[in-house]
Amino acid sequence: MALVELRGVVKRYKRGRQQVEVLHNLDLAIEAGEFLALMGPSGSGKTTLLNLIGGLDRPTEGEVIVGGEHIDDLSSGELARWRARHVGFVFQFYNLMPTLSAEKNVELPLLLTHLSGAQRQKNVAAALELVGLTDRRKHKPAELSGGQQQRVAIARALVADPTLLVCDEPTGDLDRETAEEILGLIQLLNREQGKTVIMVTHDPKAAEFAKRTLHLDKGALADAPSEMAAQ
Amino acid sequence: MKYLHLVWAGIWRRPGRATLTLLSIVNAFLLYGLLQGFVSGLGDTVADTHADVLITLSRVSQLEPLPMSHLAQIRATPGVKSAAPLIIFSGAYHTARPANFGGFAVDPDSFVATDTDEAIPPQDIVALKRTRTGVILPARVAAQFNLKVGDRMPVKSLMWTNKDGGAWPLDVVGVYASNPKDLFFGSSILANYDYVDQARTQSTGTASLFVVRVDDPAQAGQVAQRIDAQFANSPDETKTESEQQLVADQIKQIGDIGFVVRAIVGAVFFALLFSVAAVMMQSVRERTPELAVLKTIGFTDTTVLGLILAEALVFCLVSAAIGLGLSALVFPLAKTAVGFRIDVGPVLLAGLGLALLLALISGLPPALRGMRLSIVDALAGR
Repeated sequence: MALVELRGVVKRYKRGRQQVEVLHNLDLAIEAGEFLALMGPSGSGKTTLLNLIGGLDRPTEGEVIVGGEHIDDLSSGELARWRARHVGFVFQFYNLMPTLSAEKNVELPLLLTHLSGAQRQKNVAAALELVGLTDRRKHKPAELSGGQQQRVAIARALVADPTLLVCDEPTGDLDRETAEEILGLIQLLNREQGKTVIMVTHDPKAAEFAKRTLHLDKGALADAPSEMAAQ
Repeated sequence: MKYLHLVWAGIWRRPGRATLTLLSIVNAFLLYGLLQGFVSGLGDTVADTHADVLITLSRVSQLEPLPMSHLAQIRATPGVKSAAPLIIFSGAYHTARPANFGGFAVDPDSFVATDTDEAIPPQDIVALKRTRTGVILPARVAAQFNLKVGDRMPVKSLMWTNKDGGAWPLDVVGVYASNPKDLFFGSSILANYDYVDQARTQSTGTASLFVVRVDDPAQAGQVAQRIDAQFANSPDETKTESEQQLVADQIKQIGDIGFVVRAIVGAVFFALLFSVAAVMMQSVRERTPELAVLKTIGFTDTTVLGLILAEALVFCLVSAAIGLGLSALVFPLAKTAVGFRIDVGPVLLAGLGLALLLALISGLPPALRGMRLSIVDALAGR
């Protein structure tokens, strides 16, 4: 059974008086443990699709089922709690809290759990160790390089042990060498920890790290949805 | 509590702006604390006066003396428990730093029978009766001039000339603990009525006022009317008021202080409300992407609302506490300078209540904005 399943998903946005259909009757299945790259030109609907899978947005029509749960039926509060339990997000521009240290940024998702302060510290330390930033835990984002900030963002995405890792252009703001380090880290998380990774990227080199690549064009998939390319 | 660091970080995201806003709130609450403390002090002073004590003065003027023959008639008035004649005996003690103080010449026995506070130790009253030139000092005056029992204290009266032509040579026979609650007698020097009356060059056989204690405080108004009725159409008509009324009248002579203070404080807080609300709104607008990230991570709409409201609450309450704390430091000085005590607790509690209201009103619009924030729009910079 697929971890993520989209059935007949349509997404329309209102732009002024006009309705714009960004995704057209889209079907997609993503198996647990996959590392999927979503590629396509600007405006093709990649980020919209990612937002629907990550529970940040709702489809206008169709169903989004993740882990057997119809997330399009959840209320706003239920959806927020579902995201906290099941999804880790990594953004292009890191989106860290500038006033908080690296460890406090990583701790944010754990504030929503019932873990004790000591347990939270333990989990934060483990996540920072995994991304190789133990020695920079007290530093604020402005005191870190782009690659280090993205590592902090990955640690924040991982710390609550989500099933799904959703990455939107995670290397779009990094140089080639750093980008490969970050992609290697994401690949490691997929291979070693079994995280299901869905990554939006413009970069074909980045897509090479994924097990499967899907192309979106004008709101429709250009590849067969259930095909596992690199098992 | 686990969110406190997040709230605190949000407040100090822009330290310069936060400091300036904090100072403006501190300033407003300092002003509020001082003015409200002053008003509260005035109110407490009136409230602390005795309900069973009447003051009988000349109807013509407070400075016009009344004949001692009135005393027997006042004592015989139904409802009167006791009455005591007093001569106003304010004066100055000439040291290297001359200073004035309030005082009365009293008949020790009748004064003790009438004084409701019993602040003066009985042995001091006995000593005053024994020593014709004796004087009992409040502790504040004794400390001010470094005087103790047995010292000679030459007093220059502001009203009465001694027949000898010089100062009044008084001998300290007792020192009593000052009682700030008693506006009239709580911090006055007390000399012997007989000595002052017989040694002064004018108005002999008169009293500046009579202090009257009634049997039933509820009947004080009727007793006052009975006293005044006895002397109506006489050359020395009287005006009898409760101690409370007399103090309230004196305060009213300054003006409606309560209204003036409320108007000033109201204007200050009205302006402050808009400036704090504008700062809060700007702060939330700047943090739109950060709030969107919190929601992405799993913070619910209501949690985001709570975080922003908590920022407003913590910021306003901390600023207000500093301002009110500073004003509380000034209250003891007010007691010395203005002469009345200030009950700090109610002023501070009302101030914190005001801060709570300020936080809720200024914090609610940005908190609602944060709550309604669309994650997708905010992350896309729309």
